[in-house]
Amino acid sequence: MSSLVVREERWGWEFGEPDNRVPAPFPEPPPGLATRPPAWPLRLAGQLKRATGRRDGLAKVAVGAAVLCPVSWIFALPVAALAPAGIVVGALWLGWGRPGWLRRRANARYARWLCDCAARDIRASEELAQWAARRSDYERNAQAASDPWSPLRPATTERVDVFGGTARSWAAMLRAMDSSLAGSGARLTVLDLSQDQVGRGLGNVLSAAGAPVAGFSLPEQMGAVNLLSGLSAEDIGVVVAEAIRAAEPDAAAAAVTMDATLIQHAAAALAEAPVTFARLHTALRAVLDPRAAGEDSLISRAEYAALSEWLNETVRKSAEPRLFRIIAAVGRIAALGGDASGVSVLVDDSSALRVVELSEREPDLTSELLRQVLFQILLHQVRRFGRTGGRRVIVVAGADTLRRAHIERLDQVARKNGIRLVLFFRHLRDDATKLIGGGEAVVFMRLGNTKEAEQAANFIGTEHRFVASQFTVSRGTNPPVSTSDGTTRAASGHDPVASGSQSSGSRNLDYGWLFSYRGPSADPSYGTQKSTSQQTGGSWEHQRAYDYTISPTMLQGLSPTAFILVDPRDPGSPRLGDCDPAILDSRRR
Amino acid sequence: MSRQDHGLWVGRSYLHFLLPVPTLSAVEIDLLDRAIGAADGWTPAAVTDSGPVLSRAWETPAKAELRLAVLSWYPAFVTLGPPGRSGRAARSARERVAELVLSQGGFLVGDPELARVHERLADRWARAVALQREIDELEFALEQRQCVQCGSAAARRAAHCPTCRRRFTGAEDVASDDQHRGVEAALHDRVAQLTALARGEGIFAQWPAAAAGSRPGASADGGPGAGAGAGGAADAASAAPDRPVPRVVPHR
Repeated sequence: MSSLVVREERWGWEFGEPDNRVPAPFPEPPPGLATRPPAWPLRLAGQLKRATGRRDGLAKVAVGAAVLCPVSWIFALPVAALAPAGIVVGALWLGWGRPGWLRRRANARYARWLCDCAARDIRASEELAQWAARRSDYERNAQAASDPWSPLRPATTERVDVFGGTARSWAAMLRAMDSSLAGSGARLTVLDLSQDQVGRGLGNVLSAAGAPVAGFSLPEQMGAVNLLSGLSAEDIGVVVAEAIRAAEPDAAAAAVTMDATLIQHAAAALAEAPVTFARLHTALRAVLDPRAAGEDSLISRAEYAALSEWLNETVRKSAEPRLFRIIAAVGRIAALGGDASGVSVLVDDSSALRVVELSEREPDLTSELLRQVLFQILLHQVRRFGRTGGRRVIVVAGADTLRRAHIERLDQVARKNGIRLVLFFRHLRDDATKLIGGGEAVVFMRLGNTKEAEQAANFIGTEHRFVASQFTVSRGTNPPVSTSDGTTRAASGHDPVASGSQSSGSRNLDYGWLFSYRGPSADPSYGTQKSTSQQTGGSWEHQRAYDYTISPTMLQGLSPTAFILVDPRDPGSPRLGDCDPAILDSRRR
Repeated sequence: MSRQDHGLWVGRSYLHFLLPVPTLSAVEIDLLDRAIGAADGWTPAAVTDSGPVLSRAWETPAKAELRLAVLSWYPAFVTLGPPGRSGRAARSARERVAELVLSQGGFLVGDPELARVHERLADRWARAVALQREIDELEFALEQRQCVQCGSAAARRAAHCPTCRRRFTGAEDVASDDQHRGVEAALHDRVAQLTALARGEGIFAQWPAAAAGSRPGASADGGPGAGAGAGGAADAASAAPDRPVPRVVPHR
């Protein structure tokens, strides 16, 4: 699990070219065979040749001497016959006996030499085995280094908008992204307003890695927090008023100012104890109905007196319609609970990761109010962060219902303070369509809606192509579906001609790998094979299977964890990536 | 074998030979096993299961022994004989191996040629290593392209530089393709040279049997003949395999 936490920022992985990092050949030459050729074969061969070459002459000498032998015996002394007899014997030895002796000698010398060769073989085998082991290590290391999956991240360090996808998509991306950001030393604040708990697994990863993590699930943990903690009366006025207005899109803009003023003064009057939604609600109610303030009330007599001092009858009468709305809204939040001594959920502390998620426990109206309150508190906190040391990233998941003006304000403040803002939108519609491109980079995940997919395709540019090549990465699960889709970019942007292709892999999954469907092939499928030479054994293979041109259909068919990253600062943009953490497993095998 | 062939070696129980292959592989070993084991009950002994074939031994039930030692590579230069006393079985096995060598397009090297051939093969091995190195580097170059901006290597078919992430232009693609065509030609040339080394070309004028019909016994520099008859050469011409040249140090 902790292996997911890396120092290099990544949002997913891009399937690159396996041969992008072709390992250099092993530099060490193999050891040779250190055999010394013996000198005796040449010498003995010469002697044998000479010996056999003299046989005719020696035969004549032997015959002559043999004739002389009886002649000497008869006509001279018998002893004189010994000399020709000796010559006969000598000639026979030189012509026939010596070659045999040379052959036997050669056999003996050969046997000794062969034994020397055997001793050499032992040494040579050891040297070769060591060399082969070194080469094997080298190639294994080189192979390990040539990973076709490379981390993918936006080139920009500012705002990134993510459109589309599902809870699973976002969870996968947050897991890949946030853990790497935390690993790189950045401090993360994840405000999950999607009600899908997309950031829930995130804390597990980082905790296992030893990183300080803080997490709140609201409203379940409202009893342990005070949402208004650390806010001044003026801040409370703005935060609550803006939240109420955002939850009431039809409310007049002028009403916000009045709401903020009313809430601010109510909060200012609550000076004897920390302001909570419950105390604020009581105070606002007391403005309309003095019976709300009493012995058992959450506000004291002194605080009520301070309220009454400002809210005279004239003001009360004119603000009554708004007060009713404010009390209703604040009352809903107050009903969720809250502790005056509770901590603030979005404080600037030393946590590497702070996740605040909105659960789906409450009905939509209350959830929407709480969502807006949390966002406003975040906006307020971002203002207060200022330009702090170190990198800071703020992720807002489920930004669809946030007002465009609020998001743009958050973006402005975040940029000013050097904070990266990441916004996840479930859909590309309403205010989101007006926000697209307003940040730096844009990420598109699966967009099921045709109109949304069309908008995204138009934004990316339909001239881009992703060439899918055959590749195989097997997973050890029991997949019901086997696919061999892949991805590689051949050409895009201003060069519509496919200049090459990348390669390869496939995997068996319970869903598609990058694509859940086989896209229409722009070019007919074909395969090519090329070999440097049959003799060298070096060959490579490339098979192109499908071309995916950016189209609404293609965006609708992206697999849950696939995404297209469009980043104007990246010359290679757009890029097709995948944030499935399982890719790490396939890379390790 | 003719009687003349017996004169190649001073001893009567051993022989040296070249085979038109870079190193001894399982194919040649199998052929040798069959030829030697065709009579007298020769069986392989002390077989090693891994690593390149540097030596091999056979023995009979009567404890006669034959041993093979690889003297050099590119082409395979081998000596085979008894490490102790020789006998009829060893001499008979030698005859069969000699016939096998000739049938496989090999070349019998006599005792007078032994030192000279060995010396030349040492040079050829060094050349083979250098050629293999060149081939490795050319193959490496064939898979790569250079980014003109940052100078880092990218895959040949890459659309972007992996370092600076710049998209390669069409002109760069064309230049890269041209460069790779040159590399391919050079690679083809080196492979051909290595193949020639493996086949034993250049050691003797009339061997290997590409020069068809010639007697493989005559040496390139007019030295003493060290081969078999024309029949063997003809066999060699047909049997010389046009097969892949393995890496310089293959494994069995």
